[in-house]
Amino acid sequence: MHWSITIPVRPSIFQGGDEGGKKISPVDFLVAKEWDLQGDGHRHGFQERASKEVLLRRASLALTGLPPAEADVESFLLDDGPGAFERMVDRFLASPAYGERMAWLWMAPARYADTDGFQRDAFRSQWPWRDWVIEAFNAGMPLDRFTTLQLAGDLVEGADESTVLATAFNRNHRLNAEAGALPQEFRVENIADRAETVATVWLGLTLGCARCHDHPHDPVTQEEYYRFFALFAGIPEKGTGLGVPAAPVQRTASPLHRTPPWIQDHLNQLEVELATAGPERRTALRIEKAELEKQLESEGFRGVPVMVMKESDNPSTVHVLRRGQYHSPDPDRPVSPGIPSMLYHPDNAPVIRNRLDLARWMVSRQNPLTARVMVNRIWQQHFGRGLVETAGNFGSGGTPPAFPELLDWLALELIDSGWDHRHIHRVILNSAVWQQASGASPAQWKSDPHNRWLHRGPSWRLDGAALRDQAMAIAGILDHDIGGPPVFPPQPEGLWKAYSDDGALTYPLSSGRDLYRRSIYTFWKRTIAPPRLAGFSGSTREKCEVDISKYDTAQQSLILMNDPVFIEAAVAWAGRLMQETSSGLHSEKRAASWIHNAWEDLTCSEPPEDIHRQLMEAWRFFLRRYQSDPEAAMEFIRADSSHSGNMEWNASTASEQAALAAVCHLVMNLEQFISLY
Amino acid sequence: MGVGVCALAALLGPVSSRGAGFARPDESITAGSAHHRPKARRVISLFQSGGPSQLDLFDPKPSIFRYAGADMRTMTDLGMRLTEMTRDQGYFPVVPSAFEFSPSGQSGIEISSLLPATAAIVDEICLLRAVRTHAINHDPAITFLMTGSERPGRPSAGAWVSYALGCGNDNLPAFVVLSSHGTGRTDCQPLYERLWDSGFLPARHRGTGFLPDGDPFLYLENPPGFDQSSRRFMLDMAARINSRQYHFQGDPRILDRMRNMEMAARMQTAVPELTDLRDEPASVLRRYGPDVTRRGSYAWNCLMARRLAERDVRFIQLFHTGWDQHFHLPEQLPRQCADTDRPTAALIEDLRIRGLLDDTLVIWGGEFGRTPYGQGQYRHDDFGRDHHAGCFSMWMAGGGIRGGRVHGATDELGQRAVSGVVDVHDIHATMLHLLGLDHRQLKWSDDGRDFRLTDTGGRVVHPILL
Repeated sequence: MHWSITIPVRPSIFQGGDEGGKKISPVDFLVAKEWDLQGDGHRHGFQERASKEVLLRRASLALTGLPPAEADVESFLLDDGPGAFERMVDRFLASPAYGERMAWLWMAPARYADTDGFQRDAFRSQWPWRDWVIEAFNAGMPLDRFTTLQLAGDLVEGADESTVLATAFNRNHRLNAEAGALPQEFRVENIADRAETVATVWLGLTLGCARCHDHPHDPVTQEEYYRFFALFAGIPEKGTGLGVPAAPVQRTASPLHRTPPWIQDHLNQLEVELATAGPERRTALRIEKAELEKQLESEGFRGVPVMVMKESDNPSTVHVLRRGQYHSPDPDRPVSPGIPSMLYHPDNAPVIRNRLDLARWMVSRQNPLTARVMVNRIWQQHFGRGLVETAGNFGSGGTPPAFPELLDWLALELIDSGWDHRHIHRVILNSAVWQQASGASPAQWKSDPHNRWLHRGPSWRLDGAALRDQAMAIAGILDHDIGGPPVFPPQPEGLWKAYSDDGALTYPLSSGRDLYRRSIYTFWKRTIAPPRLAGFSGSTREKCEVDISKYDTAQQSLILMNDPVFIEAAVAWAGRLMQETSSGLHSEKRAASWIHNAWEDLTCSEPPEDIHRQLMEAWRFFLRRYQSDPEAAMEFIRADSSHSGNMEWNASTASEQAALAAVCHLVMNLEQFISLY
Repeated sequence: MGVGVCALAALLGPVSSRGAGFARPDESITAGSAHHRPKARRVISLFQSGGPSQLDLFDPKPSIFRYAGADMRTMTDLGMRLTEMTRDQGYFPVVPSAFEFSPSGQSGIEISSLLPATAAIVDEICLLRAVRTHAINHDPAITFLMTGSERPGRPSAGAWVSYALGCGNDNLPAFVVLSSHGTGRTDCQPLYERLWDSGFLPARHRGTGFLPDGDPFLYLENPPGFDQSSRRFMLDMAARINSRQYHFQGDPRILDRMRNMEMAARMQTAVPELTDLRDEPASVLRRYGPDVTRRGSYAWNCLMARRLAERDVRFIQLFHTGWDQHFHLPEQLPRQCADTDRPTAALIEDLRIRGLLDDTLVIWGGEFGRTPYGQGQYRHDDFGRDHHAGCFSMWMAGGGIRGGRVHGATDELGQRAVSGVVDVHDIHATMLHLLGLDHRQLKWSDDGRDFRLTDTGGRVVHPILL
């Protein structure tokens, strides 16, 4: 039987009695055990532990998508007591940014977007679901509940607005509103997308191959495909149309976008006044109230239409579709809902009549896959690649794990901890495996480029969201507000225009604080994805994506070199550094201390002497350049008009800030900024 | 800076002539060189988005004038895949073309009077009159033509070619995309990035869009107040500090990123030189027509296609919108043709004169054709046609294609392909064949499954090859 469909077994772990009496992490034990089994090439033990500073940044970026805040740095670096590291990890896990990072990583698998994705690509309003995900992670919702609600929140006992909102997961697929599109055809496409996405996200299976006919080597038959498909076929949907009113829809307010209390108070006060006011005053109050309501409505506080799952009262029978074609149902082959038979023992077949049964089976111990698939993605979050490198394929075409016992142990640990995601992060981060230094000899990189054998710590290039959020955080301009409607940070103006139908679609650039919201809130237009985010991740959200693309391109270099978002952050960062240390030192000394502090902002550690010297060389170069051309200096620092605007300019401070900003921007093009290592 | 830069050069090694000068951390991710001796070195794809009306441009049906206005259902079975726009209309009038056709060139191929310039180069082209597709809606049909699949997620043809053959130029991407808006119908079809995406292939094979406004390539230009000398200094200093990090980490991806920064910098100088038309003689500009100096026009894009071909860019993809004539076809179609006819022919001539046509494959066509029956009210001088997947026309030229030839035919009404049928995957297979690639061997394994541009289909159309 294929490894992934056997029920995981808890491996025995020897934990105690290491020389100093210190307990070995089960993760380390299982990795070392496998190395032993593999033999010679693997018996050299763990790499040395990375420095405290490196671990701090590594943990912070992987768990929150942000660099550590100053307070985190101080408390950890000053804490030499036992359990300091664990306390640091707990601090990140308790941060609201944790939920945002976990939700960000859930968006590509869930193919979440703010538009419909076909042709004219109309706007939709699924964002309360995105907020539901953030809130679920931050509230510590166990992953079994997280699963159940997204699959069957409409069917669970005590279903309410919030549990139904969770089911929007299955409506995040594309939707075709093209004039002339056939509803029957696209209804089938929608259902297939749901079935295949759920199979990939929770079971690590690529079901799609069985859609058209049986394949000799595929254990999933065509009939089984349509049984799984039938689980998602019962909603009263038309198949085509625009996403906003596409039934079934629930009008929902986001759990993270509640009417601000002072506005609610004001509304209540208006009510009270209305009860006693005279007729003339009453008209004025009514108008005021109506206007306020209208504004709340337009800003999404009163709820927006969200496409959700809701079973039809009279669902039609599903048939196998000949050659997978919507217009060729086979009248002789009606199917009832179910899951592929390879997933259970014939003596112990689960009864799966609907999505709720599916969800219950999914999080039961009878299901060999879901816990493995989930811990694999958490591992991927930290190491850049999963223990099973083909995160979307645990089937025979995928890559078997190099550490099968570790995968199983983590899966059972997830279940036994009550599906506690934070627990899994803790056991991974508290291992010597994760804490290893990530550097290695070129020969070792060559023999194991993907670090399949875990002989070094994690290192990977950050994604677009982490890169921008990190830049804004370091600069001190990041807005930490959580939840709400999507926002429109800067992007090249001509992009939407160039590919729109009439060449006139304008990008509705946000203003004020919305420009500095975390990247998870950036409006995701599916057919023309935000270039900074898609350019670094490879995902376009047109379909479910569970692999994290790490490909490097020249386009990414251009973004880091020229995207105004990074220039603005560099200028603001320089402004902050200058304001923090402005005492009357001589210019060169001041610059030395600014650059020292900049390096600390980024790496939590002092700059090595040679790097400091090189950055000072850069400072001198840029200062000369901007002193000789004060207009260029002003042009460069104008990239940040919102934060440095209140600084008092003269030619000297302008060229100093421009020079320092150029150094800061140079730093944003260094590996220490671009990568987690 | 001298020492650092020299050391860096030693570290990075010679620039590869393939793969746009990028390093490949894993050799197994390239397909390797050509499978057989290529006829074409590069492709220019002139995609006409919306569904050009083959019956008014390339596929004359003189005998149907006597049926004009008759209900086509009384004469033939229309099949069941009619779009939602026409399936419920009361009757399906036979609509003859409103335009004259005349034999052109030495080959005498009949071409519509709307395309005089194309008629003049007809001996260079091979006209495919019996192309077929599946989808009847724009989005899936365009996605199918561009990626070999109606569903999103597959690499586009250009990405496959970039993956297989890399770029012939170290300063430009292997796959460049240019788009323009037609004037025939101005509220027509948008475009989608998936049409030039790299799908599961490495991201560097993604098409690079050439925008009509602002930076030609996204984020190409230095920020305001940051000049070229500052850029050069910044790149050298970043390279020095990054090579230090490479020294400590040993991670080869650091070198890849350093090469990418250099490539980005080379693009910064190569693109302004590419788009500077001062070196084009007036006679050449004239040939492309008056729009040629307007960046973002089809004519400008055609000229750019030639300049990119000269620079050995591997896959040059043009998109021109506006070919979706559901209504007012006799009024709209002449404008579409005025946009495109002269620049298209000028491109072929220009390539030929420079000796580039022999090894440049040019493909002209849309995602499907238009119905022989009318949509909405029918008058001889005012009618429309719906989407038609059953047969339509495309043409190919250069790069090993036999010119002055017609391949395939449709039935008397123009409803069905009857001979020389070419499926979309056959177009892909033929294109790859001319590039020296076997479409059955050009594969990529994604999550354990093998994928091809031609999926499970595709046959090389041998009769059209030299």
